[in-house]
Amino acid sequence: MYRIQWKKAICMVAAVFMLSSLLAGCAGNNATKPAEDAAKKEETAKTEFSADKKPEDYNCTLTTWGWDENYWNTVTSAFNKKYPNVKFEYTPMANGDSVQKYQTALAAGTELPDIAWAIIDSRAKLFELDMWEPLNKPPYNFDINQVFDYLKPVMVNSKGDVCGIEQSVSPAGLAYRRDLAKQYLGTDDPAELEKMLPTWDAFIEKGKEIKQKSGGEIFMWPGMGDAAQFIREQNPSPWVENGKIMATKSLKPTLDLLVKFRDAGIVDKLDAWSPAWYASYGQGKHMFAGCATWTSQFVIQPNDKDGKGKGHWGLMNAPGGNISWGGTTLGISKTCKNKDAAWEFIKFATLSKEGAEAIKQIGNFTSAKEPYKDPNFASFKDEWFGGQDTGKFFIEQVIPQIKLRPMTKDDNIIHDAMQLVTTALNSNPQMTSDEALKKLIEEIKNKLPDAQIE
Amino acid sequence: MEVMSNAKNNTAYLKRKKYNIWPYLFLLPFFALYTAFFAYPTLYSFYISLTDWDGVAGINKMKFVGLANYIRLFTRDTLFYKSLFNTLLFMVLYIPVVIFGGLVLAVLLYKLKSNRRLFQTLNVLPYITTPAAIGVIFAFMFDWSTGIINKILVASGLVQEGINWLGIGSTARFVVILMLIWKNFGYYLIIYLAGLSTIPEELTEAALVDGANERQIFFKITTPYLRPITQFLIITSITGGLQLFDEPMVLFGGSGGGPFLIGGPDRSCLTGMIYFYDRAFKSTTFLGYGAAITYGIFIFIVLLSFISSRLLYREEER
Repeated sequence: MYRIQWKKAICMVAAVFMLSSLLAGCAGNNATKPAEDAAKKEETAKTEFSADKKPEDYNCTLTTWGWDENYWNTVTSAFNKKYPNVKFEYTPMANGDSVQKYQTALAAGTELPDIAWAIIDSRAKLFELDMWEPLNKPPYNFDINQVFDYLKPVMVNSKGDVCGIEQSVSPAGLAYRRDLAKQYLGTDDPAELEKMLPTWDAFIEKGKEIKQKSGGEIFMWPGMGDAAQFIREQNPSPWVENGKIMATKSLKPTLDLLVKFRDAGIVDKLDAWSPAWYASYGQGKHMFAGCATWTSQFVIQPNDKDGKGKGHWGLMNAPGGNISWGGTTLGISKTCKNKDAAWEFIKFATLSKEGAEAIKQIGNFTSAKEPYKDPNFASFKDEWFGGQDTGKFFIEQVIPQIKLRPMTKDDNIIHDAMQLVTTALNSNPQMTSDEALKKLIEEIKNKLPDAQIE
Repeated sequence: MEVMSNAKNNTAYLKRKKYNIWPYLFLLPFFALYTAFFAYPTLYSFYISLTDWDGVAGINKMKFVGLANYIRLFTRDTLFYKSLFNTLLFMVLYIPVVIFGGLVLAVLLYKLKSNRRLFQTLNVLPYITTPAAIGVIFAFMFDWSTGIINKILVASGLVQEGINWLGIGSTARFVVILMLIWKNFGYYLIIYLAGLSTIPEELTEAALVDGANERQIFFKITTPYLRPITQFLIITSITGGLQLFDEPMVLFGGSGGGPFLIGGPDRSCLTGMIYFYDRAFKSTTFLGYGAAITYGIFIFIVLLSFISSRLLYREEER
């Protein structure tokens, strides 16, 4: 009799335990009305930061999701020297996944990172997400005039709110292999090379010569994608005008030039960002490559391992002008619990002289104007570039030329279509630039059936 | 009269029988979880598919549009049909190879006296390898200018210059199919090996005594005996094949594999699931339309599974 009761009791306890664990699980999955939750959190957040807080008074942990750990570690360790009690949690995330990750967190009502990054490729879309603190409004009161003028349009959303501040500027010129330039063009001096290659047509002619001299071993570009990326940004006319996507106006010149490159046979066949493409930076078979401020740190140094101090590389003005390539902003998410600390950090990382000095160690240059008042600040001698002052080149020669294309929320669709067409040009030697344009328009139409495309 | 007494007996029996709650209580956790994490999301996705909802605009901008997404999907969306065509093409080309190949290899391995475990392990290794790693390996091997495959082909004089494997639609499909076969072969092999162990030894021995040769035993005894397993594998391959995502994604999804190009060159490797993912989360953020794509794919999966199971069933009846 007792035994039976024991059995019952055990069964009862087991059932209750199962049910309670289930309910606990469900309670954690409360994904209703994230907007209301955010509003509540905002109410509890301070509307004004206290002015008399000392750096050591900031005591919290700030989270972030990002794609440049080297940058993050550099800037946070410099910040911690001044603010010792702020800890950081970094979660790696591919920049191509950022829209999806933020969107999912918003839809599910889960925590966003305190400090959120936004890459230029999908920034217009990211800034439309209801997740950013407007930095131009109280309590932040950020004055956008502190950064380079050309960056202002890409730091604000469609309402005119500043959603993030650029981590650093991303000017790009043309990198070249000094050893190959000396061997095939007779000089490795950037000024001489710029005289020799004033236009892309001259570039093509030289490319044919080099191809002949090297028996087809040496190419001008690693791949069509590299050429397409650079040339496309030399013509930064808006993708969209009066609601129409201006495919012909903004991309036909690029396609024309790509076809010329292809027909001259001066471009190798590597896909940008593929393992073979990365490895090629250590092989010295390609004369030129697009080179932004981040290229040395991200691409050249890890793949040209024994190139330090050897001066394999040089940097010059590209035929047809230089460009801006890439860029990432730091902003504060609405769900951030320590907005004052997050703002202290962002100000330090993007606007302060100490932050600027810290990121300069890895070849990044702040987007704030102030530090450049010291004429020597821009100087940065890169050991992979034979001690050439690449910092001065980027800041003094490239930045004044930069024109940025206005952001649109469909940027990534146009990039993807362009990528598809570049691949098609590569694989089909008979394809003309008119056919390529037709294909490009067709592709954009597939993704955006209601868009008007010209 | 008899009916009346029966009914009386029944009610009396029901009254006597104590209603037992325990089985229901123990089943409850499963059904609660199933409802919370499967049934509800599935139904909610259907509701989302009836809305015009751009994820970026937020949940407040969800607009009910009825069947508009489905009408667009089935009447105007060429990429949707292309993605289904690609998916079917992959399935038609790789499922017969892995099923027949898996069966033949299982029979050969089953007969091995020594090293059977070693060969089994070797064949199953690709199946348990991370798809991302396989993507990188294949991208390296088939790279246009530096890949080992092209180097071998050029060195052996079979081709003048390297083939642009990952840049041309047809060859890109070939690489994806090769990946699928290489990766999944081990799984089919294991299932068939398990099936072979159920065939009674006496049968094959009796057939041998009666003068049957190896080929006859394979076609007359082994294959018919393994029919239920083959049916299971075909049905699961079809439902799984329609959800094909990993292999083309790691090759062309920009995760360190080949060129970053959603769906590969000319969208020749765009599968239904990749198309859904791309429309809902990547190049556009139309969650409503994305949900409609998944339901479109779901309809095709149901249709295909139904047709294939009918065919297999009819075959059996014959």
